[in-house]
Amino acid sequence: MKKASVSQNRFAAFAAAAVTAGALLIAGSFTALAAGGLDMSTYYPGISVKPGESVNFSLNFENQSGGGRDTSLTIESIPDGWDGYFKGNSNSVNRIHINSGDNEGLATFSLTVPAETPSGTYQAVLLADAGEGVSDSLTLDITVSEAENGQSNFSSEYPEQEGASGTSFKFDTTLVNNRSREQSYSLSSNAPDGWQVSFTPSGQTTHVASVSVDSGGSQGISVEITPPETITKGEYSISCSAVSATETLPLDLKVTVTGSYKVELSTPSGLLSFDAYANDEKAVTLTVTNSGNVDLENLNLSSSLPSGWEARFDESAIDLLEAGASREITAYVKPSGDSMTGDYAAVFTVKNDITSGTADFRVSVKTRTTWGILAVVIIVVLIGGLGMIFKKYGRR
Amino acid sequence: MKKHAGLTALFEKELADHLLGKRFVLILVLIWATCFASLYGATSGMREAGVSDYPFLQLYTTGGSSIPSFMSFIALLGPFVGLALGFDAVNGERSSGTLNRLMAQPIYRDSIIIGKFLAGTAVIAIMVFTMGILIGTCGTLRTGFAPQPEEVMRIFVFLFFTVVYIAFWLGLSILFSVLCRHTATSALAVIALWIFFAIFMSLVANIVANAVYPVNNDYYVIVNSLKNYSLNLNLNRISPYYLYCEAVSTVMDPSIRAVNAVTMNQMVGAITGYLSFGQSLLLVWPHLTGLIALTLAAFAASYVCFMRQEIRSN
Repeated sequence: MKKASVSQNRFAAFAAAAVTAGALLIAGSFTALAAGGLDMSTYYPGISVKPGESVNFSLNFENQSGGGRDTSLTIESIPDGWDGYFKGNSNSVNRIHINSGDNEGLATFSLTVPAETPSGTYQAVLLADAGEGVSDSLTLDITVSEAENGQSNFSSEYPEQEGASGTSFKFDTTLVNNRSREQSYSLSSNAPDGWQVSFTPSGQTTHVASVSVDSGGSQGISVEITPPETITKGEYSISCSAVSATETLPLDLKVTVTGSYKVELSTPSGLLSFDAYANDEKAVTLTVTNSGNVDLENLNLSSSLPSGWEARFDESAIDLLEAGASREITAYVKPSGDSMTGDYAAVFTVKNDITSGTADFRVSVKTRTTWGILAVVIIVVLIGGLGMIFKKYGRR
Repeated sequence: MKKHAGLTALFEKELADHLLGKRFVLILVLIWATCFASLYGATSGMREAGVSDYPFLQLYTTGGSSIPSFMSFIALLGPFVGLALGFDAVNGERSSGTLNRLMAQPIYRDSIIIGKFLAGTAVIAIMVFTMGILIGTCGTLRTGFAPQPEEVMRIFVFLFFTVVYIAFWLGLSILFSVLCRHTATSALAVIALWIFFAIFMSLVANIVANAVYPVNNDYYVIVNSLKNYSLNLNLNRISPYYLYCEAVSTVMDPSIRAVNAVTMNQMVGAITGYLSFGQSLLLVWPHLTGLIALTLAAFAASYVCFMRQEIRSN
């Protein structure tokens, strides 16, 4: 039927092609206007581009004129403001020599689409003129569209994660290259200071700063985000991006740091033992540290001691202890009067409704050296007494 | 005349008499035998019972194969050494007539008794320290445990206690040799005291404590147990034998934390651990003071008696 319409009326055929566009239009332009045995063609005369991009058309020539010919290449028509030129062997060219027969990929036509070009279909007509009436023209159809068909993407199935501070968050992401060429993407993030973001290709252990993805291929990338230790509770958004020469693929990852409630009790030096004397008060400095990421309120100090022992604190309650802050408190411990010499266990606890921290102390109860001195004094007195006896009863 | 004229000469003479006498050889053989027997007992006991954190001290405190430890041997036989050296110190010389001759020399009378006591104590010190060090060296050779400095200090304190303890028995036997005319009487008197303190004192203490604080029914057990035990303990402590045993076992075992009765209340929260050397010493200072006081009292009594005695009467 189509064949019949062509043979019937050529003009009608063109009109039909203009209305239906698509394959018929391409087919029409691909049909070279052969004149005198020179044919200029390209495999993909119709192409889609994004504004601001450039496209290359590889040009093929078929010379049936029975001998090599020098041919001049010109741009017959091109949309206003567009830029196009011929390339051959890395140079800009305007004349080429076409040997007899097929010449594939002899030259390349490079076309740059201006960034502000509105969407639509545009045409460029190229002319190859070998002189002596041997010439051929080639019409290229360029469809400019905002969203290019082959848009690559960088995505994660679960872009939001939740966890306590001190943990690291691992996102499994996929980078898909839908472009027609292999592309190298450099990976980066806008994480604030103190955060660590690392990219690891799946199946690998090394951190990478860029990955190369084949055309049509995909690459799994594991993104590990480690917030700083001292992070406070809240929601944080980290933007990662994969940037190639032609595209920028953003990926927003969300990290929700949950509150961790932790209070620690220790001493400034970390030493959890001290000496004490029976029935004698001993001052011990304790440090209460809020090692969680939420402010703690109404902390109370208490002690669990051997029976008969007493302890008091210079400050037995803390109204507010900010996240990460610590406070020094002095405890006064008084071992009972009848405690044995040697080691006892004493436990101090700091707690509120939510959390608690303990410190186990080893208290060495000692006997005062005064008793030893007393013993020496008594022995000296005894020897003195013996001397008195010598004096009184001796030498008679 | 010089102060204490002749004391040095008397001291040297007495020391030479002791060291060259047959009696000394007899004591030495006895002590050496017990020494090696207890060492054998200690090593076999350590093999059976295992080794503590202070293995070197165990050489002195462990018994085994039904042989008592060196420590208990010395507590029991130490008094024998003291009395063997002193039971005839004065009355022996008196009966053989040498005392009169001695008094004829240009020396003070008190030099005689001081010289005798000091010479005896010197012999005891030499003997005890030699023995203690011998046990240590033989024990090191046999077991391969090298002593830690703290162990060495504890052993020296133990040996010092032993010297004071035996010196007390020497003083006591010299007192009886002054009081009794016959050597046999004085020897028997000291032996009687020795056996009484070593064996019967604990029985007496037990009887008295039970009489004062009876524990023969459940109510009394609840009410009187602690008082009964404390009275028993304090009565036992009159005995130098018990005092010495308690003191040296505390010094030689760093895990002993108290010498008195320990209530459950005191045990709450206590952690097993070792006392430092100084703390162990501070636990037994009353024992040391008591033993020294007893020794000095025994010697002072014999001194006073000797000085007031009529010598030339027979």
